[in-house]
Amino acid sequence: MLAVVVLFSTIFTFSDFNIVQVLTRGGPVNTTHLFATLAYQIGLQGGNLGQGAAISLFLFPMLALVVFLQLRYIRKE
Amino acid sequence: MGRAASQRRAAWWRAARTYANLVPFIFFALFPFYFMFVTSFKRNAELYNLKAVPFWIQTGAISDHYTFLFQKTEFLTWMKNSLTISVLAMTVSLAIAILAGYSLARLRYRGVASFGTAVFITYLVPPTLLFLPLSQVINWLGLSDSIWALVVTYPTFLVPFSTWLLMGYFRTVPREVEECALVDGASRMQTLTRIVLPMAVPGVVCAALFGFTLCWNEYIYALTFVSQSGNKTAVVGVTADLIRGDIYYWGSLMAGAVLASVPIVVIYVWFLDYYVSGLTAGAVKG
Repeated sequence: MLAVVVLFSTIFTFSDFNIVQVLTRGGPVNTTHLFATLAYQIGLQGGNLGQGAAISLFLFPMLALVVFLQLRYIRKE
Repeated sequence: MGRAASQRRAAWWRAARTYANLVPFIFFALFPFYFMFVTSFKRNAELYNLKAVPFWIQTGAISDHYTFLFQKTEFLTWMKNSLTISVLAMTVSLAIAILAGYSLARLRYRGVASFGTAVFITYLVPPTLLFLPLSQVINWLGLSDSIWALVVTYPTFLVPFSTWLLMGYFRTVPREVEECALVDGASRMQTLTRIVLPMAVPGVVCAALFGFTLCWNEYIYALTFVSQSGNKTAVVGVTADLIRGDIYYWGSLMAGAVLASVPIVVIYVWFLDYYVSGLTAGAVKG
């Protein structure tokens, strides 16, 4: 059960958007960006959709690794 | 006699200690609401006065921030949008999730276990990874800048979530009851609607409540797919239209936050009985 909670909090912290967007919007001078907020700024506000997609897709290998490890751990238990 | 009394006292102390342990958590959970509430009734002069105590109101409560919210912004439209979107998206997702969850919990077909895992993994793919591709899908569907963009995209996270939840709940419904119905000639669909669903009401209510809350609090899709003020949801409307550049309308922001959390509180209180019985039903075998 603890593994599931760790898995969830890791993923949701990694991919957080709301708190950063509401509090700082990535500023001052881009110092508080997470992947999601940077992807939003470049991809949608800057209109560079490809680059934004590349940034948010950078999350994917890391999340896949976390999910893989955790699922293996849960199965073993 | 004396022993019974001392036992009673020991039980009382145990209960008191348990509740005392809860106090910090309750404080942690409720303080933001209290602060929101207090701030929304403050005068601006007191709000920006660094020497004033921020935790209570000293110079009298006013309702100006609420008046501003209703007269100078489209707050009521935002609330209506949020409500429409959440109810529609939740209903659609629940209908899909009941069928999917039941089939994953009870039917046997090739790869049923992998489908279950796939649903779980789909739920773990965060919206922040999907919002750029989905914005193209929304453009392609011609739904951009309308509330329908959100009604069709919210099920992408609601369906896996509710399916996963309901799958677990359906597994706790005794198989024997279902088999009785099947032996008596009911079809699978009749078994689901007449036998399993009535027994799984707490699970379904739970999924509906969580689904509604997820929709209501959703931020990134609502921010990305809708830009016209009249089509925004409450959460996005309040944060987008009351923060203008570097100017934060703190009083009205807090007033909006208070009012936007009312529906969630109301539905949780309303369904509390179902919900709690869902948590404890079946704990004791009669």
